Amino acid sequence: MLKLLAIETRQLLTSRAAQAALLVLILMLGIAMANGRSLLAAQIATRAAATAEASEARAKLAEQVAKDLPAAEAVLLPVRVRDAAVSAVPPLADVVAGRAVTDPMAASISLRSRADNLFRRPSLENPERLMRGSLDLAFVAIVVAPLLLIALGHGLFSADRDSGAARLVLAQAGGLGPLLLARSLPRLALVAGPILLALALLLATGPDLPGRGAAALNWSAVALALLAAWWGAILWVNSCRVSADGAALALVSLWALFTLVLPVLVAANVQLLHPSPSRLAEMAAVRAAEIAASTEWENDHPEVAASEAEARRASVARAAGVSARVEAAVAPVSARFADALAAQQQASAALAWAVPPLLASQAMADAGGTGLAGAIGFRSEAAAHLARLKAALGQVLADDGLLTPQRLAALPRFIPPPPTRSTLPALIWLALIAALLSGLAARNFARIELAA
Amino acid sequence: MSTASIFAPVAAKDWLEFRRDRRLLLMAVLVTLLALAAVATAWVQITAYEADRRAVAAQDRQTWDGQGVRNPHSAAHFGFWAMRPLGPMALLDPGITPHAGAMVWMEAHNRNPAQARPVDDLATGLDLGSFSAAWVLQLLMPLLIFVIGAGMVAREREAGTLRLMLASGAALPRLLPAKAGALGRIALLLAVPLLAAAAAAVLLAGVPDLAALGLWLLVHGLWFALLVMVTVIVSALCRTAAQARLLLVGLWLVAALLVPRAGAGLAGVLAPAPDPVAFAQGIEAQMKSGHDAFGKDAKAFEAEVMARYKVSRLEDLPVNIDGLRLEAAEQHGNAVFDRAWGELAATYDRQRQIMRLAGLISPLVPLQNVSMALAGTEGGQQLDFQAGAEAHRRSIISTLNMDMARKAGAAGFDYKADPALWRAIPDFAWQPQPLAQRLAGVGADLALLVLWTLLALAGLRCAGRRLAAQAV
Repeated sequence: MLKLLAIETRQLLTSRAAQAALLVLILMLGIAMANGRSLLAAQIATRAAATAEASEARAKLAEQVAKDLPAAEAVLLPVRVRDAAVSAVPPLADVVAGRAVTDPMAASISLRSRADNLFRRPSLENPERLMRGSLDLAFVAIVVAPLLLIALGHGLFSADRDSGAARLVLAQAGGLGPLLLARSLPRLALVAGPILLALALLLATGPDLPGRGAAALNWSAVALALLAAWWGAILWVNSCRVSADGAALALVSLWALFTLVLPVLVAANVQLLHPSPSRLAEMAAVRAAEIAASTEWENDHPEVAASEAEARRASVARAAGVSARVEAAVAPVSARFADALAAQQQASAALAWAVPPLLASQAMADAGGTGLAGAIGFRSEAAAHLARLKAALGQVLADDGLLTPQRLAALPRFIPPPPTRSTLPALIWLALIAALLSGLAARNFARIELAA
Repeated sequence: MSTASIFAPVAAKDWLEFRRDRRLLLMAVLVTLLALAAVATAWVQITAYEADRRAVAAQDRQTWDGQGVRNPHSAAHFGFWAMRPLGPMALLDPGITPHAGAMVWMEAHNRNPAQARPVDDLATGLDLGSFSAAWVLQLLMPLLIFVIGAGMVAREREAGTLRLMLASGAALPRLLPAKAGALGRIALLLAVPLLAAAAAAVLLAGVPDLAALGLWLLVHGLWFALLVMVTVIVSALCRTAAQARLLLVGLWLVAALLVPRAGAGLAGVLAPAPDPVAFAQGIEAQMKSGHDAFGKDAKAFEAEVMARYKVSRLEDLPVNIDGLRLEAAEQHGNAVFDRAWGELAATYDRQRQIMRLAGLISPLVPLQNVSMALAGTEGGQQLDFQAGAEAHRRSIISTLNMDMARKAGAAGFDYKADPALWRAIPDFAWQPQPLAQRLAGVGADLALLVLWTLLALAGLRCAGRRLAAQAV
């Protein structure tokens, strides 16, 4: 068996197709790694800037609170509380970009913030660049690698059948099982090996982030399961009575259908299944609610609205009250939109089970901390933190409006939720698909062997 | 035998083979159906968006006009939404619109980035483009043409019919143009329903720019010609149809999926966009360090205003000083915004230049640039929309500030403006740049596309000669 494996590996490595596949793969992995490094560095820098900004504001405020300010100044301090909800760095943003490029990483939180417009600093990425898409390790594993496997494996056995050498090859190999194994392993290793090596390189040279190792293990398990599913499809097509050309055509069609067409169709048509109110309508409704709830609010400059402490305190309390009323008025509008969006997302997640590459991409993003579930978790936690902070500051305003060092220290702090999610269900499903296709292929091959 | 005389039988034979191959026929039918679905989906999306935008703009206007008596600065904080209109051509190629904000919040003190990017609400994780006519024509059709045409010449070689043709007196160098013609006919039959449906949908969606529509169809015709020539060249160079098919699929993978993404990645590495927090911090720092008519420069500002109005006490001013303070703060902010957003636009421009380099390796990149420009959905339009929104914001805020300055008197922030002031504020009206201006921005891309076509023509000639030499 080992000898057969060595022969097949040598033959594979001397073939032009394999060399070309390897070259393309290495080039793509190089670019993907460079992109990944750049993205992760930006993710860390943005979070560091947001954290530093919040720390600076906190320190400055603490300094003011510690001072014995005149009452007219002291009553303005609750308005100056600035906190930041900063999401945890996705442990594998350099491997799977997912939503990391577009999702907000930080929100500035104060008495004036509202849950519906917490994230007012969206990513400034060039839309033209976003439109072209990102090339990361996940893209290579989901889109490029299966096509390379098809190029290397479409004629795995069908080429021998075409040339009439199938019986001879079977006799020399001592059976179809050892032959297929000896041909499969080097091909799988040629495609999966460099991907795993690139992952290892990124891990070895990248920053030490919490959960990075476990995330990488999950990610590679999903990637390998997807490649195994594709290899199962390649074996199955080879086991059918088709020529190598027919196998190539069938496999490329399958690839185009599942990797290219269905994900785009799912994204485009999930809205038809669960139509949501438009974003424009949501924002306009929010504005109408704002206007209706804020007629009392005159300005956002309490320092110039009055010069006496009591009047300023009243101004601050009134602004906080109006903000709370606006938030309450806006909440049902935002909730309607969020519900519809959640229904869309659930529909999309359900459809993804029928489209393995889509499922794998979502699982990889979940493993890497750049998935939708992680983003939703962060947004919810940021909104909850805002509510907690407002409640605490509301209590201060209700008491005497003065922020003491003890009260400042007792204000809630934001703890980011973990960005990663379990990938086990997706992994099991992909493994099942791989097993099913390989089983179908084994049954067909057994018949072929019997006939031979 | 001339090209004309060989064309008819070759085209007839290839058409027959295409019709007999049920797999290819099925794929062609499926792709055509998909293309029609793409046009229908885009039509539904664009018309719904436009209807929505108009309704929301009207509602927003009503909200603004009906806000009752209020301090102008309070109104300035509850400003307007500027919403980007989409022309009917956007249903052919949505371009950057899924990744660009559709609305800009225009308020006092801030220049806000565009919000409501459709991609933010995307429920799926694998972003391989927007389902549209352009997606089918630019991404899917090439794959289909490559798969259908891979065996055009290679199969003749495999079957030994190339030698037969030679023996019957056919000039092999002329065979390739004939093969290209035959594949072109098949491609045309595939594309015509889509192009006709797309054109009809555009005409139904509104009043399109007919010149832009014609050019868009023409450019995609050129694209198909290029694809057909590349297919025939590869088919002529490969020994077997399977080899040609895999090589063409590989070329497609590189040109359609990898190179544009690699170019975008390179642009991000070489000319990174600023991170949003640092960008906002930079603006905030400049705002604070500059003129502050409410804080550190208050006294100097008051003195300057009193001198301007030739009075010695604030109470004697014929205007409200707070209104002027707000206006001065806006003027300072505007200068800061111009610098920061100008730098951002320059970064985008550098990125665009880098991404354009990818067009030297993949003709899809210049095609996409030209297609987006013709559809009015390229990056330049988005920047122009955002600049328009900013100009409108400045005009509104200045009007409100100056109303407070002129009419507030001693009431200051307690002053309430008459609702007539809200009605005097004009609507936001932005129009896409004219076609000539958009085309000027993609001149290099057009030239590159023509160069690719000329190269393919030369390649077809060379492959024909090589084929003849090999057959002999």
